[in-house]
Amino acid sequence: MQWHIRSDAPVYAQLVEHITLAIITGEFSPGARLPSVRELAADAGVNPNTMQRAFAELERDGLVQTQRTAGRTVTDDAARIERAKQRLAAASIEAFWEAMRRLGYDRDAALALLKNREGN
Amino acid sequence: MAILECRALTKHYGGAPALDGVDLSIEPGGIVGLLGPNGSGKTTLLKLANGLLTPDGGEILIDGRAPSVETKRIVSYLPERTYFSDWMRVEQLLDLFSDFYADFDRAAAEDMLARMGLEPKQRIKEMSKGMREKMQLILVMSRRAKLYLLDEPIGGVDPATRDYILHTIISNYNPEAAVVISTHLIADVENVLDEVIFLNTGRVVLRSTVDAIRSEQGKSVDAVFREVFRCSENY
Amino acid sequence: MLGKLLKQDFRATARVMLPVCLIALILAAFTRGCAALTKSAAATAPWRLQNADFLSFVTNVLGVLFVISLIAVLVLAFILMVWRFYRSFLTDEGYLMFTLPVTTAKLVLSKLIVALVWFVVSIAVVVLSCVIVGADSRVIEVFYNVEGSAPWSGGQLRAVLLSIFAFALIHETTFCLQCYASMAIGQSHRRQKELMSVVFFFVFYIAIQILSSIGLLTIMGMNPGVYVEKLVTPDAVYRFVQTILWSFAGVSALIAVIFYGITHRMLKRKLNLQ
Repeated sequence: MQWHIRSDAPVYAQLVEHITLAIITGEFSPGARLPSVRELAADAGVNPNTMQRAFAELERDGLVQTQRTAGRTVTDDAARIERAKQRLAAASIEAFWEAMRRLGYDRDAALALLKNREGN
Repeated sequence: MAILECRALTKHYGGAPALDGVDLSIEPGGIVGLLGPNGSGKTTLLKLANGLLTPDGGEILIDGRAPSVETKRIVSYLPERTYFSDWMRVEQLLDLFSDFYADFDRAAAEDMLARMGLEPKQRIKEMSKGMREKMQLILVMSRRAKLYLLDEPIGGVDPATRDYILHTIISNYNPEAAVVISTHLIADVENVLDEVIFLNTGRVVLRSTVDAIRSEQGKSVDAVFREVFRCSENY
Repeated sequence: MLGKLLKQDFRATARVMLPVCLIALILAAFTRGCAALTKSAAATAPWRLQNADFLSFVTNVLGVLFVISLIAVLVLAFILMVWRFYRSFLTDEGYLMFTLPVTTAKLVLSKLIVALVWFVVSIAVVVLSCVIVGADSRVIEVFYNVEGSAPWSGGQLRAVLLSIFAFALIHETTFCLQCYASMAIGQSHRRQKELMSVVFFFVFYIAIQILSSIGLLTIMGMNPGVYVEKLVTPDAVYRFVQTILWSFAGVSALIAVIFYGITHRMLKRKLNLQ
């Protein structure tokens, strides 16, 4: 898995995002066993404590769960994953609106631009 | 109990103080970056922790005790220099570590050395500088110590070796131990650190977690460091 | 822990000393062998002068090499003593040595013991080599006769030899520690460490010379002539010799302790690894 950790944002937040994405795209399939914190941390080149913190948040969100015998697994609750996907999509869209607004396009103008592009 | 604690620690070199009333404490379980420009006192602090220097004022405590034979048992130190005798062979070096350190994990060291391509019968004088540095790191990290003090572990190495070194540090992480990495190459190690301590002319000027700095200032620790030290005499 | 340190120090020094000692002994054997061959060649075939001449030449060459090897053994033992201390404590290796969980005392003691062992070994090798080269029935006869004809008993002779040996050992210890103390003080300086080591070595040397002179003058002042006149019997001479040897040894030992104290303090409190 490719980890692109930016240097100007908190590491744990980026890790949460990366892992969530991996779950959504199916790189970590629903119900699958996750590698250990240390393995993933070494893979990503980050502090294991930070990876642990990321997992704690993912567990809070319900995307990951810890079972006594199976260790850490991805949730097999498809609805949850779908909600996460929609959340990330919404965030991308918001970022798009914000970028357009900075360029001077209001919502309608931005929408028109999009339709034109799709038309062509 | 803090694994490393400094109380008003002071050390003079000739006239100028290398450390001037430093207070800090480091708990087990963290990887802490000791950051500062050259001459800020980082190496002096590490030497004091190892008992290689004696304080002129204040005190430094390892697991609650002053540096002594007892603390040397639980501290694993990686100095900036390589410290081997040229004539030794890899296996003799492993013998040495096994003999003197009860917490030395010989099997783990042998495994890592083998993966690096080092034979037990190889002589140190036949190795390149990069290999010696890697070997020294492997030996230091193969000790199951309570405090790891790494002085410029990635200074002067190529990017691949740097990644290998950071990978080794992360893989050997132990929640009951603390790792202190002293360096001036911050951008490369930021992601690995829990906390950072900025040191300048012998004083602590900042202490925070990496994530706190990034979320509060929206910048990397490296960028903040450059700001903090931009107007110092060290330029 | 001391045992482990000794193991390391012996390993490091034996790899140099043992080959040289072996070479000396082998050269001794070859010299003796060649000398014997030369003799028999000259005796059995006096008309084959070339052979005898050639063997004689080889014997001489071997003889010279042999003497050089003996000098090498003694000089090497001395150089190793200094070099080992310097390498372990005053170079980057110090970072390893002084972070090992051992006391400074054990570190210094280990170096000292190894130096003394090689001192004894080197002398033994020299003696043994000479025996190999030159010993024959006549020499052994003379040796035994000495024991019989001297005014002292065998026991007294052995006691004196032992005293000489002990004295040599103590004196060598003091000398080693003088070198160590000089180096320990030298390393505590920021610059010119090696130069300061040499300087302090001479400072100590001069100090000891001065003290010895004072001591000698004091003894002269106490009119020793009176005591010397009483040395009429061999027993009295024996006791006198023993007293002299052991007093000097005692003084030397005291100086050794002072040098050890200096070395220990410098390495423990004023360590200055760069």
